[in-house]
Amino acid sequence: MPKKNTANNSKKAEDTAPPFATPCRHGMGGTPRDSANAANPWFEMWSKYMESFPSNPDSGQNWFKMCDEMTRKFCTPPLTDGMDDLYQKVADASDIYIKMFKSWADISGNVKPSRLGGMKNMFDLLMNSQKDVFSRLFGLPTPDFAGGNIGEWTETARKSLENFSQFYFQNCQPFIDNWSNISTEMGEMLKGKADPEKYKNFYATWVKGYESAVGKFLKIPSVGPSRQILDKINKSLDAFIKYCGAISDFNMVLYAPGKETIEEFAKKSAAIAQDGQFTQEKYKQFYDLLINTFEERFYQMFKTPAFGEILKTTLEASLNFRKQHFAVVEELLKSTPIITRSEIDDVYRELYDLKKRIKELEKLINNRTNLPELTLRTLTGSQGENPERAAGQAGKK
Amino acid sequence: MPEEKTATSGSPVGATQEKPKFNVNEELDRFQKRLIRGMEVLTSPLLDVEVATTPSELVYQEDKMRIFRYIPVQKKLQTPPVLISYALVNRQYMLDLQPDRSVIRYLLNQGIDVYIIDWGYPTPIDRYITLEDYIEGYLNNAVEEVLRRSGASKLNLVGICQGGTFSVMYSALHPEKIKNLVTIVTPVDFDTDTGLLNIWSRNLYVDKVVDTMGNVPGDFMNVGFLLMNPFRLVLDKYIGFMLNIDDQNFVNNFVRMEKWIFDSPDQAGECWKQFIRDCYQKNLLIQNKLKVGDKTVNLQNITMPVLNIFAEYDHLVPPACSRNFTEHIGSTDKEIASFPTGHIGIFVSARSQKEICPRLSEWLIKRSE
Repeated sequence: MPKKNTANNSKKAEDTAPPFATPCRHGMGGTPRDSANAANPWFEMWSKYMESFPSNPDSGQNWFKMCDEMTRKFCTPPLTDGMDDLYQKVADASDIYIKMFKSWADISGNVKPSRLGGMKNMFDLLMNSQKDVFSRLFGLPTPDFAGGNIGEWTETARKSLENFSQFYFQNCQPFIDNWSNISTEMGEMLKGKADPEKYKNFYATWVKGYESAVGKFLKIPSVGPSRQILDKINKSLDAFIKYCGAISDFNMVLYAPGKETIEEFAKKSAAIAQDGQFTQEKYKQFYDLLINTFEERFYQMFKTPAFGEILKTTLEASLNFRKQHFAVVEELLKSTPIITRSEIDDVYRELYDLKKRIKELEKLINNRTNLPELTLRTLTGSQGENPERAAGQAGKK
Repeated sequence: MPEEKTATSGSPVGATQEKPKFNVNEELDRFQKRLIRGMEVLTSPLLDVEVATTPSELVYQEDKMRIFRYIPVQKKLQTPPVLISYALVNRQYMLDLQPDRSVIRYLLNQGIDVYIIDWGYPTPIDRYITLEDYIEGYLNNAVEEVLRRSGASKLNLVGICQGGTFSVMYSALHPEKIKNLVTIVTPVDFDTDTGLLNIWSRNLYVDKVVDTMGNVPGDFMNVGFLLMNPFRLVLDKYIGFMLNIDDQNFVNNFVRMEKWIFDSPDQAGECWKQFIRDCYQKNLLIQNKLKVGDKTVNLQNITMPVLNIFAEYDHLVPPACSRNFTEHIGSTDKEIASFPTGHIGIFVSARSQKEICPRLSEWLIKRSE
């Protein structure tokens, strides 16, 4: 904080130095300087700062320090009567601004928010710097962070921030960290030859990240008036992600033997073409080999329990997504004059039960009255129809 | 059911036996000419892809189930009526796919009175139809109607694939109405590792499938069938078609077969669920533990003559599912007939007309006296 200048010092400067090279109000003890003398140290500091700029992560702080020192040393204007107070206010404001900037620079320079400790440090720095800023800006007594109301508030805020950070690192960070792994896996996947293992790893990493972060949130029960639709949308989204996963796994299962079969086919087909004679018969051999090799290899795989299992998983994921998706659509249709499948299913159920009941009663009547001409058709919708002569119609729609 | 390996795939019909050197230009020229000829074939008035052309009449309808009677071509009928129960998967006109290889026409020519069940195309309203509804409802009513119309006290029941499994259940529950039972490519013992459907079905969450889908879509089933042999059924088959596209007869039959393969009704949810769970997953039928409604199916109740036909290269219903069925029934007159063909070859192969149909009709006529 600059000290308030005295009238004497100001007067000396006014007498002996040009306006732009007035002695600094701070630090130089009021000694007059000519412009060259004044500029040299300025350039010196500027050079020092610029040297550090390209690579030094503390460049921001260096910049601040330079500005602060230069202001203190070289930028005190010649004061005239009536200007003193105004200048003082501007100088104070500038000083506060610079202090605030320093707080920010300290924070940005020290905080590494990749860890909980980093977040805590950031908060501490923020509090300490703000303490200084507030006291200077508003002339308030320095707050005691160890006690009193502000202390309690800041402690609460600090804990709250810690808690939030903990939540963040437990729930969001795994997903973010995972994206880093995904980037690596994707890089691997795109490198060199196609490799199903790389694809599998990439996808497994993705799913792991999803399950550990976003997937958990989609399962949180909804509340409030929109609870039902939100629940259904979340379930549908979750089911879709799992469906994509299952399809991906299924494709992987098909991909691996496909690749092996191509290799096997390549070896065998080379033998066919070995003598360099290309006849139609050889082409037929080549084609038959292709089909037979694939057929045999895939048949062997299809009958394994493992394939049965993946088929089941894929189908289940597909059905689950379909069901959840339909639930969302039905929910949205509720507000329209369109009947939904669930509603019509209820009608079908009723009709089925009624028809069954009619048929039972019909049989009962037939048995009691012994009327052979009273057939089922007369009671179940085909009344009055004569058996139609339908030459050539058997089996057609 | 989807097509198995057939003669449609592979090299062109009538391909040269010489070994000419492979000349790319000549081959391209030949290929282009074949495609041009193919376009002529596909737009020709000779393109005949009609299926189920044997004349028939609708004699009964209940909900979506219908019974057709084929118009007899012989004045004297040799047997009590034959009622054919096909699978719910795909359509019964497989037996009448092409005129020159029609199982139905063959039986009619032998003086056999043929009725067939068309289960129809279930829609969402049918999702609650159960296995009991099919067996004790529709199938039983079909049997009753045929008996009523024909005046016979018993009929011959011919069950094919899943329709055969239904016929086995029905015959065990109502043996008094069945004179002879014929099962063709019919799964009864589902506990085998020789069929992909058997392996994959064990892991199915059937409740979830039905809960989510209601009825099980035919396309869903088709994806499963195609996955069993994707290279043949998705690739090789169509290459075979392309290589033979200039052959009118080949094209006609290929298109008919395609029509049939992808004519796949949805499956009524509740029935499908019970069938997969109790048969494929728990294998209850062969253990005499299967329940249809409140009745338990006991195979020992099957005491009528039984002919069990299966295909040795059947990848949909492996021989292991069919072969031993007759060991578990109460009949003394029982016969097994296996043929070196596939699931569909039983009905449409050249062998079908030469060996399988004669065997079937002779067996029926012999036991109809």
